[in-house]
Amino acid sequence: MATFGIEGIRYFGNARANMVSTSADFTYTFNICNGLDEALRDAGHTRGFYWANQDCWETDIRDTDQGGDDVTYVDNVDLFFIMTHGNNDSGVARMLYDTPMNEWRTHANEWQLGENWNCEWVMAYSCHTVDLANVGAMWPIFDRLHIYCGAWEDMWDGTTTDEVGEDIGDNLTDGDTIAESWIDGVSDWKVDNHPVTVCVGDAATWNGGNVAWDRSHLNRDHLWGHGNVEADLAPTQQACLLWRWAEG
Amino acid sequence: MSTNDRTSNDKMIERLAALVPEVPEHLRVIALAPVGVEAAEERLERFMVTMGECCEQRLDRGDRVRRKDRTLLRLTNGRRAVAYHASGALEFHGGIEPMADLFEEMSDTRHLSSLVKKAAGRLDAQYWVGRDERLVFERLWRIKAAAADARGKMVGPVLCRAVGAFRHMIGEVPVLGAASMAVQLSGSGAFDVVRMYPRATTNETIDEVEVLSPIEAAARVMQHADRLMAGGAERFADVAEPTSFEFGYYSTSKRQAQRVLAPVYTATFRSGGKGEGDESLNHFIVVGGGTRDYLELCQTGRQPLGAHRRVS
Repeated sequence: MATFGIEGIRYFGNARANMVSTSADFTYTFNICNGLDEALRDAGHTRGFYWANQDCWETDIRDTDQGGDDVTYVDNVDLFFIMTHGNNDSGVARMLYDTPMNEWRTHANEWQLGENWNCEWVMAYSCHTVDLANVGAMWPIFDRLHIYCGAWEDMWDGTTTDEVGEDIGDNLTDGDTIAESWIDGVSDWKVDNHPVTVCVGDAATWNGGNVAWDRSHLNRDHLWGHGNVEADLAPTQQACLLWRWAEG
Repeated sequence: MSTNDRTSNDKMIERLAALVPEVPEHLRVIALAPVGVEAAEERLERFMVTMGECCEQRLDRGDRVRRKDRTLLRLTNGRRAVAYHASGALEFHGGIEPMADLFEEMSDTRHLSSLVKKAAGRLDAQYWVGRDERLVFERLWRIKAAAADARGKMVGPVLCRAVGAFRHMIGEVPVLGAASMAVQLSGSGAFDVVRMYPRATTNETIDEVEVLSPIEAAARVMQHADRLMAGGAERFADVAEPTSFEFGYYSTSKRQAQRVLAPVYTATFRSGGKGEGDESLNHFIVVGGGTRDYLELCQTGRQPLGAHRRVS
């Protein structure tokens, strides 16, 4: 079975008061986070951590070699979920926190996930963390990480998406792949949610440009205990990036 | 609140109100049929007969498991179906691997829309809605994939799925919320996922409620929205851009019970903060649309349940 960690930020009053951002608070952060937490725990998975609001720190995902503590948090669980405001800089994801521990923002060029540690899947319910025109900028985070699930455009906080945590969790534990669980789980097919899933593939998957889509982690990876999980791909084995997204 | 604050708020209220076409003066509040575990499972059985016909094989036999808020029917070949106890919402998952059965070409919107409408026509959709009600096509979605090697050589995009979203209409009034029905097709036209969410109405009219004007409703929306900027110098109206304001009935989330269909207004705001390139996540706000409130709309959200406190 899997271990998971959750971070949800609903209030950004501290960031606003310190003129770090003018981003608004959310309403349904903990409907979503509680829903995922319950769905996974009900199915027998183990919660590694669940931090809320100012207990969410950027050092939790920053690589230990770069002054962070991912080895204790994000890289110490199989699945990490976060909900906050997001964007990207030239394809490098960044996300906002409501406390500077140690920085107000995380930048994906400070992530290096998997390594000899644990993390297979990251899910970020946050806007624009992937740039479809520059997905390659996300490549360095994949150091045996399997899949990054994020958004290539807007995501929404509202009463039509307040159950996406349960939906993702139910999909995962009903046996859907990680990639399908994310895209199906966050889509109400009404508001303009723009989910995307990104993974690395080996040379056989790239297949000289005649891509063997069925071999990819997007097609084969499930949550531990609910189907197949592909082997980690070390950086030396990685030959391509593959991504799958929904658009309206 | 300064004069400027009132001005930006007032302007936002006017902008929102201008997005709604004419609304009726009164609207029927309609009683919904009660749903529970047994009723939801009966709906599931009926749904599986239809899905069996669509998939040209019997799908009514499987391993049925009751979970906390839903009944799960596990079928062969990775297929499954779900009935939600609180709402009677139904889902079918066809068990097709996400990167299998891709479309051979990137068909255009008109062709794909026609495809999903035709597929929806096989789902006996009229069975799930009442007299003078229908499910109308609202929007086409696509799920695509692409790949690139280390030198940046790109392959794709390829089209993985076409998704048709449909809206439950009562007369000319839409039932807002998540798509009332969604049909997700793979390249061969197989049903990958079907969501059948319309709530079952009755003939009983609870009330003829007076409808709030768009200006009154927009003011309610902004009252709620302004709470999202507590403690800061900026008001919500200063940092958000309205993208829609709609009037109709409302169906709450599928895990929530609902007694009636009653009028609401829904507003969407793109909220990127004030600065270019700020981080963002956008807002969808629902407020009651009548002079009497019949719906329990969750406008406060939950607090973290079981989250740990941290010691630095």
